[in-house]
Amino acid sequence: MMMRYFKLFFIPIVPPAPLLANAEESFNLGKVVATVEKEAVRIMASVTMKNIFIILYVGACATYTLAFSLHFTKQRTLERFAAAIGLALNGAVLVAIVLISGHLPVFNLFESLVSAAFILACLGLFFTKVERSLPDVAMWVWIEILLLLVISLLFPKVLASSCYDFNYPYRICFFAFRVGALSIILFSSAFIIQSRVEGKNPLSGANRFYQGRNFLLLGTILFLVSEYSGMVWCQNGWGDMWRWSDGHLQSVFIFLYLMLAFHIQERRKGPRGIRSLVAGMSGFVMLAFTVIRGLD
Amino acid sequence: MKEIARKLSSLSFAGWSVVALIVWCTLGIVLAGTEGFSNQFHGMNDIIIRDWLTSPQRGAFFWKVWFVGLCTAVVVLGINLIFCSWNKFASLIRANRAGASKYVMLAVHILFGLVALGHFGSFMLGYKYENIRLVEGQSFRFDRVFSIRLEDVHFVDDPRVLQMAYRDQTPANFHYRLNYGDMVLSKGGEEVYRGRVYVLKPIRFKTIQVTLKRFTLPRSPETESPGVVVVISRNPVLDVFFIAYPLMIAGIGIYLAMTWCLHYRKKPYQKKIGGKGKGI
Repeated sequence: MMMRYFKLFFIPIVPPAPLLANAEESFNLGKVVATVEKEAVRIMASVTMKNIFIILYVGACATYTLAFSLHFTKQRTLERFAAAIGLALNGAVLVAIVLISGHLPVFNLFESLVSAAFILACLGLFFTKVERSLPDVAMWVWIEILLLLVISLLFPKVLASSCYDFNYPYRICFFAFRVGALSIILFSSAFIIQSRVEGKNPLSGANRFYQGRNFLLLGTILFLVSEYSGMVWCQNGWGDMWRWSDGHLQSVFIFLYLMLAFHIQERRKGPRGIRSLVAGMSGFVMLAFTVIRGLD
Repeated sequence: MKEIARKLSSLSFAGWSVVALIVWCTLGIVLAGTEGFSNQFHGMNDIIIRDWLTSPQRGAFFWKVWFVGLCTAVVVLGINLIFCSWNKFASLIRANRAGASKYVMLAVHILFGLVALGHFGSFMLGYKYENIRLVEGQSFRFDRVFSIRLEDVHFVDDPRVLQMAYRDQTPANFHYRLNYGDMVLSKGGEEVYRGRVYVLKPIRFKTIQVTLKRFTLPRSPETESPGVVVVISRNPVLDVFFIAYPLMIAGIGIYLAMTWCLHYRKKPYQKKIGGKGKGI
């Protein structure tokens, strides 16, 4: 019954090699049919889940875009409603990824971007205030979420393969904290960009900058936790906490950039706002390296 | 002299040192991804950096210059860190009512110095023998008096999985927590340690670590057990590094918690907006 239903999808059934080998060893037709049927149900469920996952992903992109448009027209109630739906759809995409792949959605570029968009949307919904004039912090957050989704649209929507060590705790921490750091540093960028925009109103601008600084420090902590996990993973897997590779140098670059953002001073001469420029770009620098790393 | 010390401890000097490091690091990233430079760059992993740097047969001259440049920039930053920390410490002693957050930030900077020293120490102290291939019963001598022997390999999976790429080795066909090698470490011919080494679960004897990188396919999978590829390393400052690093993170966390609302508590006329001499 299940097999007939499965054939309606015109998907060729190829039993896995070990299964065939077992069948040759001791030919037990009932057992083989049962196993093939079980495997078919699993593949079918996976195919259906994959379709659902794509539909949810497109839905999340569309509702986020709608929320962004409503933000411009200052229809705050509708915007919050659309944002909540977008967030729910985004969350459902992540749940679908977990169900299909069996791992946290943080291991490749597509998964990282969708997860970062989700965290950023949560932060945007719960940690930004409704403001009268535009641009405001929420607008920059929306732009960042859409940027993440546009980048994810440009790349194949594939899930990371579950390698044998996918459940190794330090590996999970390395990737998960990195996604967390990316979203929080992007969130801080929204505050710092807004502080630059509000430069004419120094008091409000400085408050925004300080809020941005708080989130930048929080993001840095998450980034360092990710690096620490990565170093323990490296020490246990390769016998050294450091490897000379592009990936490690990119991590050093991000670390140094964050250090610069915290140590840079305003100049007496020349252009003003160099500190907020460097700090405001942190999120985008980290995003750029996430994309570069994802291309490997 | 005071003027030099003031300049060396300044935030602007720290900023420019970090900019120099960023530029140097960017050069490394670009060249490491370029064909022709890439192989020699990855060759830096084969032995400890001290030996790589001093051996004329190993490593390209260009990468050695790059590495020395990188270390120089870090040393310059270190000088700034020492002067800046000393000044900060002196001013905290002088001040009657210094905020606790300033002490925390000072501690974070000192811990950062320890982390950087630990990192540098791992390049220069101890030793590393990369990609040692062993099969059952084989041994490898290192550091004059030590030797490691692979006594037995326990491999529950189909050895053909070892031919597959990393991405194709799934939890279903490769059980990394069930496959292991029994190792015996001897010093001067006398057994000092015996343990099971798994992938991602090395064995440690004092500061010596034996890491199982991967298993190797045997010549005849039906009759022979797989071999192993191990890394033998000794890093005397590893513990210092792995303790200082989380303490540094915790310090930043404490500092953030202490200063999260600090700005809003100040009265408007006390706020310094974009003032010179202040980092974030």
